[in-house]
Amino acid sequence: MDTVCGEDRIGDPTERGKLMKKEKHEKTTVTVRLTDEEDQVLRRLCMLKKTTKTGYLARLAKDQAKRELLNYAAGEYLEGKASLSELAKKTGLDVPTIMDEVARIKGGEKRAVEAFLSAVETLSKLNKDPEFYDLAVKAVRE
Amino acid sequence: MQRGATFDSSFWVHAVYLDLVEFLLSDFELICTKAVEKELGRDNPTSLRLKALLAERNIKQAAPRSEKIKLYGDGERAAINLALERKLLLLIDDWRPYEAAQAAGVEVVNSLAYLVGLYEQRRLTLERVLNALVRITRRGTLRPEWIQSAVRIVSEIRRKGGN
Repeated sequence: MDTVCGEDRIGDPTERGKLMKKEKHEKTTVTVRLTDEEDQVLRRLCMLKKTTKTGYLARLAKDQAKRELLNYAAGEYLEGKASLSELAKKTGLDVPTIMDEVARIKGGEKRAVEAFLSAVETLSKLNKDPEFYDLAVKAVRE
Repeated sequence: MQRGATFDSSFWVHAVYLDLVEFLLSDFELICTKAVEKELGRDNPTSLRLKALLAERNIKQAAPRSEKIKLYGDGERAAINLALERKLLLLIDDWRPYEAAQAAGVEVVNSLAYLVGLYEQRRLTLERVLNALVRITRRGTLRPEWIQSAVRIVSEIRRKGGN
């Protein structure tokens, strides 16, 4: 049976705890209906990978869902729609993982470092303090 | 006597990343809520650092008794409420709850303000502060406005005091 995950239920620590316990000790049955063509493709891949269709689909679903949760969390945070703490609660991910994803997306953005250096340069000129700018350039290069 | 301070998860992640933890331990009696500890997860370097400090009792644990502030996620809410209840300094880096806490009358400090304070007290060199600012700029997990403001203040401190 397909259900829509209620955010409030998942967000509730007691429910989350129950879900985690369930994850560890029990299995939930999800029925997936495939066309002949879909089944054939899946069967071939599973034969080559020496795995069962169930095992393959379960792993695939889990990995994909985790990726999408992470994308969702980073996207919402970057758009300023939610705080890290809220997103940790909604997605079940920990805050460092969400922050690492934000850093992966934003990290290495040349514009941010350029804006930083530009601010330092302006202040350096204003205060007639070239060393301030030189040290910032050095820090950027390191 | 050290002043009491509590923190949210984002502040702790940045404090570890910028190598500020030893300074924090010498400046404050740090108190961590269970909710923040939980949000930091189990197997990453930032949470392991926190767990070790909690185990050694270098950081204490506490929970707020009431929930005056009901907004935001568990960790932020617990940290804000604990700070309100015990009049603690709140170390927080996520700007939305930062502003909510400030509006509720909590004294708030973000990691960059703390970093700049260390520079002003001459406990950090200019090189080290600029390195930290570049690292956090590259990481992109703090508001650019906060970084720009930190740069301006560092420059002002240097102009006035020759640090």
